[in-house]
Amino acid sequence: MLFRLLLRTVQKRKKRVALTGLSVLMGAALLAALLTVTSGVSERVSRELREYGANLTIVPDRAGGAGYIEERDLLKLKRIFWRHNVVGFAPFLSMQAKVGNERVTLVGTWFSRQARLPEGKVVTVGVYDLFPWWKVQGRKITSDADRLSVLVGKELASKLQVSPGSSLRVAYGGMTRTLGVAGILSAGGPEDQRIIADIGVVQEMTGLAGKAEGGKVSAMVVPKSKLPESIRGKEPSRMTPKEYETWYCTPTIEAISTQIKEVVPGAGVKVVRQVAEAEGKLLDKIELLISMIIAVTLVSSTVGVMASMSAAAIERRREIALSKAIGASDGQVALQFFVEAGIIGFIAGLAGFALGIILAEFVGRSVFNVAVPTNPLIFIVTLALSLGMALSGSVLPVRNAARVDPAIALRGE
Amino acid sequence: MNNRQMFLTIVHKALLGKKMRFAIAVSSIVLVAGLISALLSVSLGIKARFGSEFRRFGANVVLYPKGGERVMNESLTRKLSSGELGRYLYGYVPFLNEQGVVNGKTMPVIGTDFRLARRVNPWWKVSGSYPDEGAGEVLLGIDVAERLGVRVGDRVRLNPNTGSVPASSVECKGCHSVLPENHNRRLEGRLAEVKSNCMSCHQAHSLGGGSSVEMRVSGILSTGGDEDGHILTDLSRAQSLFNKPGAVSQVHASVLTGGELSLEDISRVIESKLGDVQATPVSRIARAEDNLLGKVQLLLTLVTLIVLSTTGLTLASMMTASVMERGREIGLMKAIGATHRAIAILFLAEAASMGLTGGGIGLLLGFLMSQLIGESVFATAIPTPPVVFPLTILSVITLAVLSSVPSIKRAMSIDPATSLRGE
Repeated sequence: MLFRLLLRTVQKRKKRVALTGLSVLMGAALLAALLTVTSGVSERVSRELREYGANLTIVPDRAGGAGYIEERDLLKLKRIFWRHNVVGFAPFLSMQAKVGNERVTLVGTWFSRQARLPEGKVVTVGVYDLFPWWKVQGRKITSDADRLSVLVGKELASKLQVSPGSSLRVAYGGMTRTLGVAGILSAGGPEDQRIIADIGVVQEMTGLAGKAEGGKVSAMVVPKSKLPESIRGKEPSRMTPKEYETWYCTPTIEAISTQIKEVVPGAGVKVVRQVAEAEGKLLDKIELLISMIIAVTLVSSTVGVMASMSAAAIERRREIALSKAIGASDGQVALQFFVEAGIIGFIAGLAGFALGIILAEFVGRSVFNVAVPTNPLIFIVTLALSLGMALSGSVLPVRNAARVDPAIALRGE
Repeated sequence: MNNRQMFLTIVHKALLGKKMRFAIAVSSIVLVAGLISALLSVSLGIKARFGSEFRRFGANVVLYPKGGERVMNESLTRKLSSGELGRYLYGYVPFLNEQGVVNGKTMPVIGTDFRLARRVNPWWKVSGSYPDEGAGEVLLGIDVAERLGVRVGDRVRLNPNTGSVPASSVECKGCHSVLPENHNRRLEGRLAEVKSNCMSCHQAHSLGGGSSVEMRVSGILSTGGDEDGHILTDLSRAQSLFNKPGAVSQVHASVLTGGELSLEDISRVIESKLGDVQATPVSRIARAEDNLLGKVQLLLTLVTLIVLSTTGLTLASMMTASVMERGREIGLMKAIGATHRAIAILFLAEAASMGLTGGGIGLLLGFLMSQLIGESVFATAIPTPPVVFPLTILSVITLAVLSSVPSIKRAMSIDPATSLRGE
């Protein structure tokens, strides 16, 4: 009997059921889309924040007194636990040389180097990842075989009157090298006054084979607020092993600098506070903003869907009265409503989740240019919530239905 | 009872006679309107709010002296914070960059205004305290402090003369005797050990621009940047030490973006207003900020759009359904002689009045929601731009009216006899 009634509801009232379902579906889609977009938003914003450049610098450990680090140690950065968070790094070695009568600063670095990940994959690293705002007019140096080409800062270039394609005679301590100008660099910073060369050239001229003065690292980090409350303010040395593990396995800037220190012997790691400090605060803000919006939206859309479910049920007073007049108990009426609402909630939840994923994908692609990963948890939450919305929307009308006097309701208005 | 009275009675009865249905319909409109206005306020106001958040990254315009000069006049900076420019300026800080010898080591000596510097560079971390103005105190970069083995409270000897020999002889400011050139030459390279007293009056404070002074280290500065290798002191103290009264070598300005002027425009305005300066945007900060601000705004806009379209559809489906349910009523009206036009006007008026009521209350709700978001995220209220009011009300009324149209049309096409017969 129940099923015949349900079947009949759907057949006879196709439009009505569709419209009720639609509101639940939209609620579910909104839920799934917003949750999916938020679930990875801080990681993606953190990647965007790398536009600010290096947030860590590697310096020679002062106690060691060597004054230099080994250039090749830097490649080990791709072997640390959080290697995938390290988006760029390069060593630096500079020297004061002469071009003609002009004193110039030559900075040696990596334009492009191959680094091997522990899993065997080879990735390219270099200075451009650290300075995404660099603009090169002419040719960008992208091959590590191209050791005798340099980029000249735009202010120095106009002083030296060089342009892409011309060559420079660089003199240092009785040695001269002829270097080709590949491009003119506009960096909007001190680099505009410098020559950027391959580190090998500087090492060779200064006789510091394999050495670097230091390095810069750009790493994706999470704010400290991501750590559990209990270990947030603690010194790593005073943590219990379990706490230390949690700390070590959360990509905060401190944890990443500790891991870098572990692989680069004789080096200290400094946090560039200008970037790191502001970044953490900004990430917290953006995340809070998004979650507030989500919370407000979800609460009101849930209430909206419930209202719409109630409205649909209220319209059926006559029907309820008729069922009661021919002998249906209050329980039977309630059961019918709830089963109906459950089915609508389930189907609309499924469809809504699918729609939500499409919406989230669209948002992810247009804002961050990456696909948004789907989280199975969100599926469960969406389905549960749309069932919940549908069922709780029916509570009020069912309670009313129990009070309906068939005679009055059937009389009509 | 004339037609007009009849019309009002029917609308009144439809709205208030079925309180429950009315309440539910209006409350969904309230929610939708609330969401629309809150999200609109937040996405429209976000640039201004986030503008000051981004200022934590520091200066985005650097002012240099024009035409290869080494210094410019400090008084120029006063023009920065006045007039129209003042509205865009979050903060600025002047620097005088010189080289000096501190306890025998040559290093950059920077004069600045610490009160201004703290606003522009909020990430500066000082253990100890910032130097008091005029107290003859210095701030040591952490690397310098380590290299010299100096702690907070210690005194350092700062000699503004790095040992390069002045071209001509110098004058002692104490006794005004002119000292031979080689007086200075003898100091070369050993400045830390040699007391640079005047040869004739033996006063310590004396030589040209080059006498050393003792200063107390009030704090150690760590920034993770270049400042770690510098020694910093009060701007006026540095100016008198290096004998460059009123001079600054660069000014860092932190400019609020997100308004109608771009950073390039503001730099032009600064140049034209100050005259002898070259204002250069810091492309690193500017680019990253543009990029991120754009992303956040795009994200918000898309979220707003999705919320609007889904909640709008929900509302529409509900309105459609509620009119659909009233086929009998429409049939009855037709049976007693109402024209199609009268019925349409009746239902649309009903929908519009629900939209108006719901929209009005919804604006209030939206205001509260945007306040909640503003207070919890930015600790300040997010102002509701005036355009939000008409936009919200209009969109809910349109939504309510448009979504009733198809079911009204359908109901009217039905023969009264059929619809009154019932199911």
